[in-house]
Amino acid sequence: MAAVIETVELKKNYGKHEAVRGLNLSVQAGSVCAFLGQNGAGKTTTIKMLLGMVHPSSGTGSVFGRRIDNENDSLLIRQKVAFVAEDKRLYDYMTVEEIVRFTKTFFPRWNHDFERRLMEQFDLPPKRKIRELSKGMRTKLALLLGFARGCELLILDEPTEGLDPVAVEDVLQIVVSMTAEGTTVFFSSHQIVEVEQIADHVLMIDRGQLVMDAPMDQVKEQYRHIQAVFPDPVDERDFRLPGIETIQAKGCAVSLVASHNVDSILEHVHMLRATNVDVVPLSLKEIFLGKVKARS
Amino acid sequence: MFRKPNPSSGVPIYVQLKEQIRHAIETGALSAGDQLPGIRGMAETLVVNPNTVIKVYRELEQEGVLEIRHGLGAFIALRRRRQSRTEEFRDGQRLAREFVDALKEQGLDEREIRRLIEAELAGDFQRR
Amino acid sequence: MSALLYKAWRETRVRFLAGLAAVAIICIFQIEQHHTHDFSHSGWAGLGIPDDYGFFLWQYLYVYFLQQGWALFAVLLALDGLIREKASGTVSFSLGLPVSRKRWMFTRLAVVLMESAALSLFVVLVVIVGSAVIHQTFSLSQVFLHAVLMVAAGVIVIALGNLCYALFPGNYRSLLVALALLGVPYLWIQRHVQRTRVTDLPEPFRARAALQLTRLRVPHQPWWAHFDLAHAMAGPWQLNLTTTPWVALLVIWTLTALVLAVTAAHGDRIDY
Repeated sequence: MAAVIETVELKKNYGKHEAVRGLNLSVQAGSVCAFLGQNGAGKTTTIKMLLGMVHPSSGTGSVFGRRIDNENDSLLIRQKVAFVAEDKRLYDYMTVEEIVRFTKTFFPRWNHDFERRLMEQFDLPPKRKIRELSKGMRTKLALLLGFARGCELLILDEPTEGLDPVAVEDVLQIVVSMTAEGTTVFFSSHQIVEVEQIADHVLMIDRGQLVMDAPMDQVKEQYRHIQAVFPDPVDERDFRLPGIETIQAKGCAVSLVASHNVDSILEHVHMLRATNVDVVPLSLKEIFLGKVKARS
Repeated sequence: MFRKPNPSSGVPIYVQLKEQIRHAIETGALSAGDQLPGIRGMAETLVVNPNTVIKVYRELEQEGVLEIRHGLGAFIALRRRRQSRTEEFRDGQRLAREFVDALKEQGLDEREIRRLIEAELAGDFQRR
Repeated sequence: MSALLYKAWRETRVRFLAGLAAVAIICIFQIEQHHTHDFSHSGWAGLGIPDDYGFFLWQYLYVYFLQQGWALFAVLLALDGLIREKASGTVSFSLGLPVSRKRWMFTRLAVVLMESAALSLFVVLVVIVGSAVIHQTFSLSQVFLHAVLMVAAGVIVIALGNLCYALFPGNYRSLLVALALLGVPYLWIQRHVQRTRVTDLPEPFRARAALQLTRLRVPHQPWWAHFDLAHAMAGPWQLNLTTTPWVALLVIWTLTALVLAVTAAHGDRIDY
């Protein structure tokens, strides 16, 4: 399968601050790839580098095989990418229909049918000025201006921020239907539950570095929370095994989060004569919190 | 007819969907020969990744629950093919474990349990 | 393409209309001055220059007030760009479109140029109407040619205003810098140079004026008089193919191209 987005040792420094450190990521065609990370972890900087808004300090990247640091290539990239930024503000002196007409001129493959359906579904008043729209409607308009471009790749930065639950579900459904038609989706989000719902690949970034890059199913199937009680007090040092991400030992009980190798870990635990062992799956939110807290 | 799966539950979404489809067949909500929604339609209704639906349909086809007819869609299999041996064995293992645990709680020891099971099998054979 | 032009128009519309009002007011005021005041005792009269309405128009509009007014609005129109969008939050949308940063800048400046030209030509209209009201005749071609010269030489003002905004974004800050950069040399040069050059006057006034200046012992033009942009924009009283300051224009256009190139390179380099 072709990689639609690819970066090799992508770095960005702002003075002494390393915003993105040696990022190596790869997004496959047709996948829905989620990009998780705390604020300031480097998500938006990475996305901006992919779109040519920020120049990388070093390293390379490509979208559809075109280089992100080359001006002409970057232009070609943006013809095929529907980008919806974190900042959903639009030209507030224009009306809804004016900005639609404005945006359409840049995308010859604009999907007029889809545009009409979205206008209806989102209930956007065509003649109202953007400065008079509520935040939720502005977000929906920004999404419409992205979705209707007829592009093969969607890059969305916090797409559902500020939307009510019904609108969120609508947007997710639209993304899912676009995926069914072969569109690749690369999106960053703080709404981890939504990510769990539609993403099939997870990338986690923490302080400029990639700390997870795995298919969603694999993450869900391999991460486990193991709680064990032992006859005698235990120490964290008794559990130096590959696959263990976090350990908390208190008296005779230990709480482990394992990212893989669960079977060997369970063997080890039984070997230490645990009297009670509970193995429980983890939600993506717990996995994410565990990952970033462990590093801090 | 299908409930939206819970994304944060420990059970992966595709497992939840497989269970829902199996449950629908068991309760009679879906009968042999019924057509399931297309991949896109299912994905949009449940708001899940289409690849997940593809995985569900493919695995259920391998397990003999569904029949995928090229160009037409996914249908509930007309003749429920018997479960593959590994599945039967795994189910058997689980049942055996539960059974043995239950008998142990009753106070029986290993030798008594073994005699009980052999007697049962022998008696079963006799009855036939 | 037209979408970008439309956007630039929408964003400069108010300033343009204000500019139209301002130049109209300046012109009307000056024309009214001529109508109500007697200029026959002015310094020019001493040189024998007749109380010519056309000369008056050239002096008070193109050499003085209109030029300054026009230049001010040309700068105001140029104070814009993607940097402004950074503050209003729309830059992510704009830069996400398949439009290069250079194209954003040059289409916007094309609109600014057209609007500045329109301001200048509007003056011609006002002069026509205003002069008709006070029953004065003048050379239409001269007024028109001066209007064109003002814009042709004034492009450097637009380019510099644009550069100031790119380097010092923010309405007030960039306006201050632009005024300082352009205004200070302008004022200083004006103080030390003859406002209306002897060489700009046609014969026989030139000889008389030269004589007058020698008698008054006015020193020759200093070397930095060549940087007198105002002089280039005003041009000589009678404009024709030979009196047009071609050299000055060439220099101005070269500098303008340089300033634009620097601004474009800067725009391409920065991170949004």
